[in-house]
Amino acid sequence: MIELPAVQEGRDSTGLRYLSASNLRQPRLLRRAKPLLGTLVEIACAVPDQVYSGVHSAPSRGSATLPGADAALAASEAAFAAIARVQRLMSRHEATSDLSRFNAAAPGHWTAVAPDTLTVFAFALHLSAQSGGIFDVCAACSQDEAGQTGTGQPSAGSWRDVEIDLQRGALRKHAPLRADLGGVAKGYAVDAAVYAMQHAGVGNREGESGEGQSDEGTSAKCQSGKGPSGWVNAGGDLRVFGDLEMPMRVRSPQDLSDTVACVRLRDRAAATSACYLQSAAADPSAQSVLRHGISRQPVAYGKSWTVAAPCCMAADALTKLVAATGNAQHPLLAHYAAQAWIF
Amino acid sequence: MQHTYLASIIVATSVCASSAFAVDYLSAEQARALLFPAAAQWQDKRVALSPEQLQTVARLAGVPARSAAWALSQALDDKGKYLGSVVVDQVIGKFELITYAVGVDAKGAVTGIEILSYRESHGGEIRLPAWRKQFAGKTLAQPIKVGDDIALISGATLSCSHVTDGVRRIVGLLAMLREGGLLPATGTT
Repeated sequence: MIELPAVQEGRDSTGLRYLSASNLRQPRLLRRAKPLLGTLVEIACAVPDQVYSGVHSAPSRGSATLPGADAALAASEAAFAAIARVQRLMSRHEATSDLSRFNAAAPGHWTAVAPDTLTVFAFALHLSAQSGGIFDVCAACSQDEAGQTGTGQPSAGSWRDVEIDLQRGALRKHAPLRADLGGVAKGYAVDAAVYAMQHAGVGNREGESGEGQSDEGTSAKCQSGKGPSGWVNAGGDLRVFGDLEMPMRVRSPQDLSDTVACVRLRDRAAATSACYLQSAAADPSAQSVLRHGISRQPVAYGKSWTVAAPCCMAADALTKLVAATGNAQHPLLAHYAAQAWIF
Repeated sequence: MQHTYLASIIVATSVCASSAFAVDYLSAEQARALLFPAAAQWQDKRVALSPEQLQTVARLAGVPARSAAWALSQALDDKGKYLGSVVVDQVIGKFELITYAVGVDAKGAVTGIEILSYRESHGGEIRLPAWRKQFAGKTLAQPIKVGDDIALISGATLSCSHVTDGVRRIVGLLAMLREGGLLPATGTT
């Protein structure tokens, strides 16, 4: 057996380290990170012990138990799995992803996709309609011309050429276009991770309690309405959930060495899109990856657009709208209960 | 213990001028327990690669082999059967220093990757005053109260391509060791 450190402040029965709170009734926060979505994805999760007291069986390891810690670990596993799932479905770089299959399909042919992919496309097309095409997942690809991606043909067409069939779970296009979900799927992945943490732990425990656990456990769980809390930060697309408030700072687009105070987040998501001067200086030939959906022109360097919204998919997508319009008061922001900042 | 040693390094670097921002996640011991939940015991093994072995690793991995000295943590089950190895490695990107652990099973498949610590290291070239302020004077003995004095940072996506290359290198290293009969028998072959 592995030598486990003794249970002390900041450690739990499984030996996992937590940022410990001074108030012992406050749950300890598990922080993990993995390379996913082409960046470093950080997940933090805390589950109050009392939520699972009575539900949880004997401690898995060690002599003392802090059941919330085990639940937090299980929740973080579920969250990373959710992000990996979204990456598999919506990556442009994986040939077998839903997105790659849609991009490779001939116009007129239906491509069956997973419910996650359908959700993201449905949201993206809806926002395209609302914004009159300023937000367009088909715009990002129009510039990677033949040769650059090796796909032969330049992408042609817009969101109007994408048809979605929610009943049969399929997509088709009516022009030889390619879509890039880079402006929205990362936000969706963050939402999926948060959803997994909010539901997986509780669901699993309920399942476990059916196996030889008394009803006592279930009622103990129900008495405390408090679920897990924490955050997911996927390279700047982030969401805070549960009983936790976090200040958020935004990296200065003029100087990456500095950050600017922005907003405090509680049960809210935020995303930032930016064209950093330092990235431009490092590679002057590089063009901004952000484009206006209608003009298809890259937006200016040296600025950063941050949007806070109830869900990260909306926050992520709306940063593109704010970047393209330069309008932090765009009427659609209110529709999504969002706020925007331009730095 | 190794992780207390590691922790002290992180504390030391987080207050020095050239390293501005540091987060440490799981310790190496915690990570390896997650990467091989069935492990009942661990055997540390150091390997020093010959120039020929380095070339083999580079060929198998498709990335330069970089280092000749590696430390493996070999997972064995309660019957002593070899389950796989965990390697802790560091990669240096443009602005960041990432320490990570990768688990590779007895057949050479990656069981998982866990980031252990992340540091923005700008070598003094670029300073991050706002970031450093958050951590100034903090040590592991003074627990950080979440939601009070740590901020989430949005913007400037960090690239993990160096970690991906590093994982490929470690998979190549273990493939070379396995092919050379330098890993414990799994008991099944």
